[in-house]
Amino acid sequence: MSEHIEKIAENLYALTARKMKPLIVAVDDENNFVSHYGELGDYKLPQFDKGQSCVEELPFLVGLEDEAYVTLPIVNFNDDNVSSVNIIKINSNRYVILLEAVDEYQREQQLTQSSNETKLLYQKLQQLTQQLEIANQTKSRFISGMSHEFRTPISSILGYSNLLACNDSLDANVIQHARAIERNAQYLLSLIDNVLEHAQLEAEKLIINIAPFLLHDLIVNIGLMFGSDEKNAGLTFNLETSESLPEVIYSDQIRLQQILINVIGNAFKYTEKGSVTVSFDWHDEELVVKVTDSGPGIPIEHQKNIFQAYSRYNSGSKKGAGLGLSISAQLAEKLQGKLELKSQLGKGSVFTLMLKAKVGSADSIIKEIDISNNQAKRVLVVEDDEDLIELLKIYLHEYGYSTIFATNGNSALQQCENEAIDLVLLDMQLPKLSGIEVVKSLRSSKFKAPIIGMTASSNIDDKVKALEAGCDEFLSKPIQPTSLLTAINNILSHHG
Amino acid sequence: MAKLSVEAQHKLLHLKQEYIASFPEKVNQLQACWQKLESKKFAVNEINALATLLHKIAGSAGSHEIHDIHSAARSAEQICKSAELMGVEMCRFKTDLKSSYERLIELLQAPA
Repeated sequence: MSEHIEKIAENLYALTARKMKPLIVAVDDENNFVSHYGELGDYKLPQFDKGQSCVEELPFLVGLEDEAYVTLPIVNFNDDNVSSVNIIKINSNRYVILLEAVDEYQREQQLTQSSNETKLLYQKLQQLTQQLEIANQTKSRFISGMSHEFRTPISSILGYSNLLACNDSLDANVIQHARAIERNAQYLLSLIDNVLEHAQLEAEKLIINIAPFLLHDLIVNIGLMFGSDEKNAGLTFNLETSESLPEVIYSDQIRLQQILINVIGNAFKYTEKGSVTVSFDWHDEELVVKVTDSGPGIPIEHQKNIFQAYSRYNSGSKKGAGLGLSISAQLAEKLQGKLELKSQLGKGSVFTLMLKAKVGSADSIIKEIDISNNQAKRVLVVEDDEDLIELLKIYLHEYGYSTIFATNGNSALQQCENEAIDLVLLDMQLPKLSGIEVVKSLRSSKFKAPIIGMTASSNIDDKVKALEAGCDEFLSKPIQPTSLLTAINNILSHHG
Repeated sequence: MAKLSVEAQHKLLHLKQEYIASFPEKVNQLQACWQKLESKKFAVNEINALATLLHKIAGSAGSHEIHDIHSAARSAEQICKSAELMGVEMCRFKTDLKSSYERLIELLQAPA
């Protein structure tokens, strides 16, 4: 048995020796040749005479520290020999052990090369990512800018066509034409809103405002919006609610309503006869809203793409950019939920929105807003309308805030510089120095306190511009006391 | 809406009464603007002044929950803004604006 092991070991040693070509060169304390073991020719070394200096052929001997054992992993010497070198010092002699390391050297070279290539690729990738980000921002800016440019004249067309359509003294045909213009302008406007909203979602600029609200209010709104027989053109609209529904939940009511309007609106758009049923239910801390229609259904091959942007399944001559469902699905995700579709051709469709939400109590809508620490907070109200100043004063004092006021942009800038201010409530449509200019100027002067913009404009672009300029939040006029208090409290709690 | 204290509700009511009491003054301001507008063929500054006044009335009326005045002022404001944007001829613009303007004046002059 041990015989075999010895044989195997001998063979193994011979194999290793052949591959590694071991050579031992013994030199004295002045690096002169003493003796050797192995083939000098394997390392292109000459036959040394005893006492001959080896420094020229084995240059690494020079300058070695006086240590018992020195190891040099890879050494390139004497006409491109590549070997690993181990030097052992015994008494006054040093024994240089050379082992061929060409393979290791090549491996190392390859590693270095791949590492350099990876670095280069990484740099390229970074450059490309940056270019893509810039391109994406440019695209979003372009879309936002163009949407605004389109929106303004379309609003005008809408306004004038509406005036014409309401003018009883005009011929019935003219009124009919004006209504057609109005309808189409309205459609264009909704398309632009969708494109803009999609761009905002892509740029992650959309703000989600989670707050407690009464589910009943949302359901009533939906009922009012879609319950009119005149609008539903012969379709039956059913609204079902489960008894397990909580009274109050925490979510973004506006965005939730937006998703439902979109999905229910689509159900009406594509259903020609029968019904649209919306059911509200509550399961395992989830709000489940099902929108069921008796429309033509969606073929299975179109279902997987239905929530992708610009994807449209055209079951007839219905128009649209293919953004509504994509926006709805993205909004659902932002609200910690998901939107799903089940549909069978010829048998209608069911869109299900599932939304994780915390339950609140009816009192929470008011109690959640803790006003006990507000006294220490100072709010600067910048508003040029005296009537509104008085109203805001009452609201803010009621909620415990102390207030100071400015009626124009310049005076607001001065107050921000000289006074201790915790929050600015800023009218965006100030005379002379506009709200946007005030915000930009404050932010460029490193003013850190939060700013809430207020405007009567319903234009989403105005909101985007205000937020881009440096506003932290945006309130629509007329100002409602609850939304005012919620916005101020939310922002101040985030700013500590 | 968040529940306001009785004191705040009284203050709001008082403020609303004061606001309603200021309607004659608002009518005067509107009429002054309108006269200036009527006396000119094309008057960008006058349109702007009227739009600003209408904007304020719309905002404050809305905040006091006086919805009919809010809507009438907002609709007149929109016409002014459309005129600014579209460069509508004054005579046409005035015809468009007149009915909205008159409706607003009527509401402001109606007994509270």
